[in-house]
Formats: sequence, structure tokens, C-alpha cells
Amino acid sequence: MTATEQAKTRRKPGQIVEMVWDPITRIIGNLGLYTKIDFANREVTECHSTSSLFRGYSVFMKGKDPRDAGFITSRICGICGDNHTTCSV
Amino acid sequence: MTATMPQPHGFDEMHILWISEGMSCDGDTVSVTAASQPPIEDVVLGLVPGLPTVHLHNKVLSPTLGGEEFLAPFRAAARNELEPFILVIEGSIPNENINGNGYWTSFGNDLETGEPLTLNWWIDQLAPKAWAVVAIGTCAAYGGIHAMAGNPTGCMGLADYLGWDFKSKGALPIVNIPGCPVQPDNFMETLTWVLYHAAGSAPPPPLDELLRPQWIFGKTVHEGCDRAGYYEQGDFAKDYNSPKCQAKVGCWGPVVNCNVPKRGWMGGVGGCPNVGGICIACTMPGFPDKFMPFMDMPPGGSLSSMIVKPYGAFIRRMRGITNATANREPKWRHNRKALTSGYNPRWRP
Repeated sequence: MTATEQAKTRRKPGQIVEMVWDPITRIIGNLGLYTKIDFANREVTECHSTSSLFRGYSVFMKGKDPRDAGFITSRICGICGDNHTTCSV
Repeated sequence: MTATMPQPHGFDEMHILWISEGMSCDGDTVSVTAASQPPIEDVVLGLVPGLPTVHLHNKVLSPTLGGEEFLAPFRAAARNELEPFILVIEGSIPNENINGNGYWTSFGNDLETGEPLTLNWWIDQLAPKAWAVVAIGTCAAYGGIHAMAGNPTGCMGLADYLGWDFKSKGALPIVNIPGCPVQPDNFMETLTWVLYHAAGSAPPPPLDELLRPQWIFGKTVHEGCDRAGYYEQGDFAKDYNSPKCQAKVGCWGPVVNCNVPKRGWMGGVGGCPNVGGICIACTMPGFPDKFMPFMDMPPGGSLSSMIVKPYGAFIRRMRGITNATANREPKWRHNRKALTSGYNPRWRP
């Protein structure tokens, strides 16, 4: 308790830095991160993520043969296709 | 050396701007990391003799911190400040004319307005400036899964977007390398050919009318399949546990252009029907709709398997008899006190 109270009292003047990664590299998918970071106080004050891609799997799978579901959902992700196949069963 | 060998006139350096922000799963990028003929590492590290120095800009394989640092070469190319480059597109191209008030897929933001830059904007900027344009995977080549019936994005292949008669700055048509995902060596082999062409030491790669490499997609799956012999003998799998020909349980191999059963998948191992996976025709322009439901017998399969059945059953029996004979050693190989091999010491030629 005392430690946190002390830390609060010693809070440094914040300097908020805006940091953006869009697209995120070394990973699959259209992922972007938009953050505001207070480095002096080691705090992420704001963070938003976005995935700027819409393909519509849940739309175009309507009315298809259920046995085909696994073949289609495995194409959702290039790394974890097997998970999406299993989930479609 | 220099006096006797004419120096090829080509590029010493080549950038590869690889955009996987189409309607894709980035599975082609992942697949290509498994290539070994040649490995992508060898191409990037300059270990393949005769290739230009390659600068690869790919989201998944990028050593950058991402964001603007990663986007820098793409922005430079759009401003005409980076060349020559090969544009690799992964994923199908959405129809942004029908996006309502939004967008289907984007790649970075406009630096002035902060609005997302769509894949279509990037293609419009980069394709006319690219020395060569390569479509990796069935999505980019023909539309693929995301362009199936009932899709909301109206997406299409790169040639449908740019036009089938599109020619890049290097006078090449779009190079399509389909596959869902692309077979790793099929892509690296074709890319290496394009790079040798860029270096000035090879003719352009021969493509068929669907812009696929002829030497890769000129034969059908069935013609290279380990299980094709079962078909000829009229011996069909009745379920997916069988090692026999899968034509009656949904394999489209006899009518699909693909070399995967011959080439295998990684290091020559695998190849869908070889290892018990039915061919769902993932390299074809008509994929997936023309082959669904995947697990039903192809319509032509009932006729061809019916015709081959009586011939196959008879031939299989005849071969069984010959095979039993071939499996027996000749009778003169014994340890008795006599030579019965038919040797005649007085015979002269």
C-alpha cells in the first residue's frame, strides 16, 4: 500500500507519445495498432486496434453443403487454418 | 572471362514489393517460407548465382518495426522514387465500386487525410510502374474462395481487375501462380525465372492462356498421381481410409491442372491425393464453385469409373497371376548335387 501511495505521489509529469503500427509486421492479417503511451510513467493511456479487411466468410458460406465448411473455413487464416477447420465441424 | 562471355544486360538490383492485403489469408506467404528450390532465404541473401540483388518487402517476413517504416518503400514506389520492382499481389481484389461508404481492405493510411488507402489504390499506383506483376495464389490469380457465389465484396482476380491483356513495364503479362495455398517451390521457381529474366540471362517464362507457367500447370493431377495406377485397374477407394484411387469419393484430380502429386509439398513429401486428400481443384479458375460439394463424386467420374471397371477387374486378375510367377525364383537355384540350370559345356556360339 505504502509503495503504491508513494508511487502516486511521485508521478512524473506525463509526456504522451502517439505510436502507431499499421500494418503490424511478422504476423498474418491486416492488423493495425494505434496507441498513446506515457513513457515517463510506464503507462499506455490509449490503445485501439483495427483490422482493415472484410471478406464475408459468414455471408458467402450460407446455403453451402455443410461438408464443405471445413474446406472453406480453413482459408480464413494462413497460419491457423486447422483451428478454423476444426471449429467448422 | 569478360572477354569471352558476353555480359547480360539487365538489372543488378530488384525490389520485390509484396502486398498481401488483398482478400487473402496470407497463407501463400507462409507457404513460400517452406520453399527449397530455391529457398526464399537464399534468394534474399544472394546465394543463387546470377540473380540480381533482391530487396524483399513482405509484411510477414519483414525485419522492420512495421507501420511507416515498413510502408516506406511502397510509398516511395508510388512516388516514382523506387525502381525497378516486381509487384507481388496476394489475395483477390475487391470491387471498391460497391463498398457503400466504407472500404473492403486497406494497406496503410493516406498521410495527409488519415483515410485508409485501399488495395485497389495501391494497385492503380504500382501496377503501371512495376517491371513485372506476379499474382501469387488462386485468390490473386482468379478470385478463389473469397470470390465464390454469394460473396458480398464482388472480388476478382488480378487479371480480371487489370485486364487479361495487361503488360507490365518489362513487357510481361501478369504471371499467375495459382494454388490454395501456392505450392512453395512452384512460386519460388517461377519468381527465380522472372528474376533471371530481369538479370538479362533468361527468356521470359512461358505462360499458357490463363497466364500460368506452362511447365508447372501443363499436366493434370491425375497424370502425376501416385494412385493413378489404381484407377487404371478399376480399383477405387470407398472411404477416406483407403490407399486406393479416390475418384469415387470426390477427387477432381483427372481434370485439374496441377503438379503437386509429382512435386510433393515440402521437400518432395506429400502432394494432396498421394497422402489421402481428395483434390478439390484449388488451382483452377473455376475454384471453388464448379467443384462443390467437394466430397461428392465428380459428375464425369461415374461414367469413366464405370467404363474402366470391367477392363480393370480383368487386367488386375491377369496381373495377379503374372505377379505371382514373377515372385518365384527359377527352379535351378538349389543346393542339390546336380546342376539344373541348362548349362551346356559343348555349346559354342
